[in-house]
Amino acid sequence: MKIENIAAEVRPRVTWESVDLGFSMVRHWWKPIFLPWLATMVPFAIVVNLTLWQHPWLALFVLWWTKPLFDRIPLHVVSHALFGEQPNVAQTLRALPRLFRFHFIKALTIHRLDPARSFTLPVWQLEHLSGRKRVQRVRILQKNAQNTAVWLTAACLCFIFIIALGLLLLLLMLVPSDVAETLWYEFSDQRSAWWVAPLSNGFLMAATILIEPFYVAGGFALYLNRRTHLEGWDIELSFRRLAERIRASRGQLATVLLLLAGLSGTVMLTSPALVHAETTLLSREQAREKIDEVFAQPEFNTRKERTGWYAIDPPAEETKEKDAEEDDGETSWWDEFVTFMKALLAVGDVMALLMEVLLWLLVVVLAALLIYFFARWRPEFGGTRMARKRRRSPCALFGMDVRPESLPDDVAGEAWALWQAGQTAEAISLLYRGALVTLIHRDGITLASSATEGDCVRQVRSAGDRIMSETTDYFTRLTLTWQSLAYAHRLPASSTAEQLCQQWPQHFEEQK
Amino acid sequence: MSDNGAAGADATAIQNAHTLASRLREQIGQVMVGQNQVVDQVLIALFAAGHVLIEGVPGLGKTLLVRALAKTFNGSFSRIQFTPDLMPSDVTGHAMYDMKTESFKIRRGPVFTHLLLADEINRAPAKTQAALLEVMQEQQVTIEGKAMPMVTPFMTLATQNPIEQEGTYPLPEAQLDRFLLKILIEYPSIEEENQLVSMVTGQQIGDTINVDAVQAIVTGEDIKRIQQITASLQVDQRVVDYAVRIAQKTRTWPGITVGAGPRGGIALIRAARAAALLNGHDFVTPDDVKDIAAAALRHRIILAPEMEIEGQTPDSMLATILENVEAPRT
Repeated sequence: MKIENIAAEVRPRVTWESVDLGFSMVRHWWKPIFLPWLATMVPFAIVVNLTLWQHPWLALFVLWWTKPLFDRIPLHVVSHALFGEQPNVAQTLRALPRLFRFHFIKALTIHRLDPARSFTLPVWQLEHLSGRKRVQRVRILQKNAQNTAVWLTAACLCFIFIIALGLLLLLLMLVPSDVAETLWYEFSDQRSAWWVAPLSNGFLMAATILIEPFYVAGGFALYLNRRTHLEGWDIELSFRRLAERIRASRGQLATVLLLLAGLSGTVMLTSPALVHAETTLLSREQAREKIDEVFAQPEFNTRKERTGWYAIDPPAEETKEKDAEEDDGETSWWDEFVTFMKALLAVGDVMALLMEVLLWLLVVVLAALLIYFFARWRPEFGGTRMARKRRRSPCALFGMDVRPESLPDDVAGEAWALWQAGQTAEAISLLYRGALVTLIHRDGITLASSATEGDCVRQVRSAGDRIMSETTDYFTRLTLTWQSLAYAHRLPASSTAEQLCQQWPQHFEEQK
Repeated sequence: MSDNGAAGADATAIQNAHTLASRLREQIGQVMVGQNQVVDQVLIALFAAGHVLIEGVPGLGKTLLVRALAKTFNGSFSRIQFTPDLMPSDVTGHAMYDMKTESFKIRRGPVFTHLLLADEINRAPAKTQAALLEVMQEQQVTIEGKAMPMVTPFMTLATQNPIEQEGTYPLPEAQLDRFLLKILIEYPSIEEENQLVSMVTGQQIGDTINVDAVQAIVTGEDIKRIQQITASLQVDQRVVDYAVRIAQKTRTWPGITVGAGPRGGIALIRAARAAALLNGHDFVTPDDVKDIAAAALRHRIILAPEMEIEGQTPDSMLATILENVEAPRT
């Protein structure tokens, strides 16, 4: 790996921007990535589906479980292509046995459910680290990138389902509507036809084949970005270019390379898996002295005291002993377990964030519902005081003016005068309207505009003690007379009209 | 103000008709315990020369009601149990070849009666239902090209069961429209049921209610006369307008997919006239229209699916509509 040959712009990026860089890599080198990927993945998927044709869900499970092995193909291509060594399809296929062999069992067992798989895969495959060293390396690398890597896994999983569903909907759109109905029924039915499961597998596999290289490249770019942050690749590249320019112009290298070597030495101390500069002028001891000089500067000697709870690392000797024991390639199960638990905790953080967002959404929805139903049910609870007042005192009902002001002072006298003047219908109408106005405003009888005459009588009867029974009887007689006049055009006898006019004040006038 | 109903019937004739109607109600009430509203609505349909669709679970006295009603006027009564294999000719009749006379003889079906009980009408296929509904509409049967009028008065009382919808053929809306009223029979109250159980089990063999107590008090001709008087009852134009506004409101009311057609308004007025007669009035009031609106319109509207999911029924929707239609005044 020659860092100066890198095909991408090297600079520290925020994590999601680096994921985007990974996606750009796949778009750029789509041919060398997808050809070997399809050449291996598709035949394998066909073989698995045919072998397990009676158990399609098992076939899907097998394909999903073995996916990490095939992820090594796009990573192999993209990692080489990035440093100017783009392999062709044949080279990639030739490299397959080596790629698959490496940590074959672990990839399919304890590391299969690693939620940040795309990020940790380059540590295995490109740095060839194992054992405790790999664990420590991963621990350093994943500090800032772990969450993004987990989110990347979740997002890609969602994309796979969306694309699979999209393919299904596309199929439903393209077939005739009656066939689409049958298809949908078969897909939604538990005991569906034999072809449903293979077809579903096909859609899911097609979506997986499309998305997986992006997933792997996204994780790889996250890994690169983390290393750029940790190892200062951008600074190193700047120095290299500066040196080149100086060499070309003056042929004097010493000053610049001294600085370059000093920087490389610093990085080497912090990271065991470095990209070594090709040319160094200082020996290790000289570099150490130079570094000590630099660290002796006042900028590096400011001390601050902070109090808090921190995990204590094991003593250096103990770590060394353990390293010595486990450097043979043996990985401590405890370290693996701790890494796995940390990954799980990262998933927990993501889930917690998701739950928090969901809870807030729930609160907002509940508040909106509360406002909506309050507005809707407000009239049921009596509404505002103004609304209650309006309901108590309607101005017009059933086309009649029912305001007390609209009545003459002496309703009965006025009605009798109208009767005698031959305006018989107006006379009875005035008596009836006067009675209604009094019942509404004095006795608080609630009448809707849909109330018929019979409804009014029933309301008055149900008013109980508020209205005297004599008044109720009078109102019933008046209603019958009014109905007879209004709907049968039958005038009451003069004596009846006179009696009604005479009795009206006893029931309605005194309290008007 | 204008009138619908011409000059109106003679007051004495109306009074006599009301008296007869009341006696009919009393006679049926002797055996039909409780269910006063059902009895009233059946009589309203009879007086308005309409047909009724009765909906209720089995055993609530639908057959008894028809038997009692037939007995009150010495009329004939037929019952057809609708089944999936019932053919139209089983209902209307058919031509049969007579070997002796070497000619076709027409055999009249059970529809040639005064009162026809079409039990569980929704169990027969559509063509058999259509045959009966055509008879109801046309008041005649055509067999071998020969038109035969129905006996009058003719009334169909069709029943259907609101439960056990499996394997049934629901009546299409267009055919439901032919029924003047859809009557719902509910369970009796505890007092009414006590009375019913005592009546059926008191010194009697079997569990059928004896209709011997019902006396024939009117003739078929009397019924026809009552129908004529009902048809001539006075209806003010504002009452007609009220009925039409109710029917129209069902078409624009949210939650109702299909509202009542013009036949809904016609049914309202016809039924309201009969209701007025039964109540002893010689004219129709908005109250008569409002009281009969649910029975006359509940089978003419189709609720939106979301309303049905919310548990709304045609009756509850109609009650809301009635609360929102302004009653006539002035």
